[in-house]
Amino acid sequence: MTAPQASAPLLAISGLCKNYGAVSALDHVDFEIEKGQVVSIIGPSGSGKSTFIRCMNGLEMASSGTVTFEGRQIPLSNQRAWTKLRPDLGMVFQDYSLFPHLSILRNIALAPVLRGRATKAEAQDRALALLARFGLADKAHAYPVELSGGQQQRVAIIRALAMNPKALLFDEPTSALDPETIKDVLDIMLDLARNGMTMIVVSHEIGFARQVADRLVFMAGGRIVEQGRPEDLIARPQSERLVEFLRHLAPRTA
Amino acid sequence: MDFDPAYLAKQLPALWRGLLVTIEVSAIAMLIAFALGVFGATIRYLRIPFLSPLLWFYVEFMRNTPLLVQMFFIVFGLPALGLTLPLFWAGVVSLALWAAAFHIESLRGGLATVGKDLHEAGTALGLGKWQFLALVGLPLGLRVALPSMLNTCVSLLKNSAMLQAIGLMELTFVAVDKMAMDFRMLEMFSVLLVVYVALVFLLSAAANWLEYVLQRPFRI
Amino acid sequence: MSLILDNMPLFLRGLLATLQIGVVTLIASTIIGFILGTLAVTRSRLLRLVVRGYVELLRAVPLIVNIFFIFFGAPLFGLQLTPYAAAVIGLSLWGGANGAEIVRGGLLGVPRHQAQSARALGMTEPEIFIQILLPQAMRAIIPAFAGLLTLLVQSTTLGALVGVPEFLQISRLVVERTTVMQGIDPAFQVYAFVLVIYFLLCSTLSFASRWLESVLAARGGSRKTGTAKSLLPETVS
Repeated sequence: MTAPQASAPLLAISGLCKNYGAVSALDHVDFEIEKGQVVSIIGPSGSGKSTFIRCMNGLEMASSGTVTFEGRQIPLSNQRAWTKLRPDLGMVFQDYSLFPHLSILRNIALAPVLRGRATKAEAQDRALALLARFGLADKAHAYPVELSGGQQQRVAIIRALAMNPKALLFDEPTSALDPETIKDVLDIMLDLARNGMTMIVVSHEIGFARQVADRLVFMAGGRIVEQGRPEDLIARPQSERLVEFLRHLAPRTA
Repeated sequence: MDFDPAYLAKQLPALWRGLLVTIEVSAIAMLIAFALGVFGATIRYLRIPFLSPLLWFYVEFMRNTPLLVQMFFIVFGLPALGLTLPLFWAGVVSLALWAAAFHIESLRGGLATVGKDLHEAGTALGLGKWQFLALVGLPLGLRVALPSMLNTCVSLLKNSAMLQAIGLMELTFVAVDKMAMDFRMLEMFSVLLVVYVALVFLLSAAANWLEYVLQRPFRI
Repeated sequence: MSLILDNMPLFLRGLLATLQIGVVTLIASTIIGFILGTLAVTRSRLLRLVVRGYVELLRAVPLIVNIFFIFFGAPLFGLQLTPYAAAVIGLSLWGGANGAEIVRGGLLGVPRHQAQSARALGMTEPEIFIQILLPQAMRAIIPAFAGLLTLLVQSTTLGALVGVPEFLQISRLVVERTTVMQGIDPAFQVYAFVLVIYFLLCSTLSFASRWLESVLAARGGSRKTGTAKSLLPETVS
């Protein structure tokens, strides 16, 4: 069965395993995402979801399995191949991880210039445009410490966007934020999703998943236990563990 | 130049005597420095008028002047005031006064970490200033200050080698003396290297053990 | 007091030599420190082990033994070193070991996520080191090196023991000469004077180090990247 090139998945993962010594953090995970799709990954802590998303761009080296991006398989232990891939897979971290010694503008414009994706002037123009679009134009020359957590996380998203990535990975983007600033960050993410950005989101924000995710993935014990359309999965969980997980989550998202 | 074990064997008795002097002078200086450190830090902690600022200056002065010059001052300068110490004791005093300055600062820092809440709890229990210090402050402060105080002890041991310069016949003096007479550099430097590394290693091991024992109440 | 004034040109020459040795060894220590400190955080276990061994060895042996070794031991390797060269080399090797610890500590003090998020942006390892890690580590490294200068200036006195004509050595000569030629022992005045001068010099340097630390900490915002104090050995030894 040969699928036509057009509908080939953007990112395909099969049989991915990650072991820490004798402990298995990921156990033969298969996963695909097509261009323009949004996938939310949920699961209890220790389920392997963070490890999984970090294996997608090689921040952690998987023990075995394959990662295929745009039809090309990435050799797991080839750091140079990963470095080449990463600009196409933007990532947003839980703790924002802005560079504290650089201004907001430089934080955003640095990597595109280094990777030769833009001249310095172009990168700065683009950074300013993105900041303006997401309501942070006045912060261009501020330093990260002067911004609130929510503002920093929005900058981190813009920093990832500035590379013109083909997909964005989010590793618990809202779990370090104050409740009142979570909405600002989610609004940007919703905006991106509606504009066709391919996104993989590890997060417990069920509301976000319900609104825009094409697929919800539930992980536990290093495996994908269940996946499907968010409304189906939430309304009719099949496994005991998902029932349990949703029950604990309910009060927070009610 | 070849390594000559026979030559080394012949010098061992003299080197052994030097090693004993190194250990004695260091051990006595460590004890005195510790006592002075506790005493000085207590004065700083209680902010005793006049004495406390004086000790602040003492600490700054000792930390910002070279130990070798302090030794020269004690050995060659003080006799002018009628203060002549035997060489061994001049060595002890100079090392102890130097290390005490570092101990005072470490311990003062340790005492400063004993929180206000503990202090209030102590006061509420009816503990006086001195009782609190003896029963709560010092035991806790010492634990915090211990790593850097033990570091100072290691430095003291190594710095005892400087006493070579004032003519105390400790290990380095004996080794350098033999070198000057017999020009057998290799053997003597091997001895110094092995002995000092071993001494520092033993002292560090003892320090780690002490730290481990004292932290026992704070482990689960 | 007139004794001090009479010999002022001599003292000044000694003081100049002391400062010169201090600055030269600081530069050498910085170079050695940055090279070794960087190697100490690489992925190569072997390199890390080699640096560790160098640092531990130089920290275990008394500095004076180290200088004696360079001075008296150089002929073993067919070299004849002047006292000045021996002292500078001995102090630099020692300062380099401490510098390596400072740089290593500074680099490790940068939160791990910084390198990871730079990696996620597709930056290469050399780019991450130069653009992200080093600038942040410098905040802790610079004041620590200023502190190291204080220790180096103090340890130049050990050069006197191999005959370097630095401040302490010159003072010894003044004491000896006065004792022989005038029949009075001026050790008390001279060494007291030497102590005071060192105190003024070193406390100024210590103050500068603390000032640098507070300035850089204020500019660096709230991120903690390790303090200079924790990186520096507190004493010469």
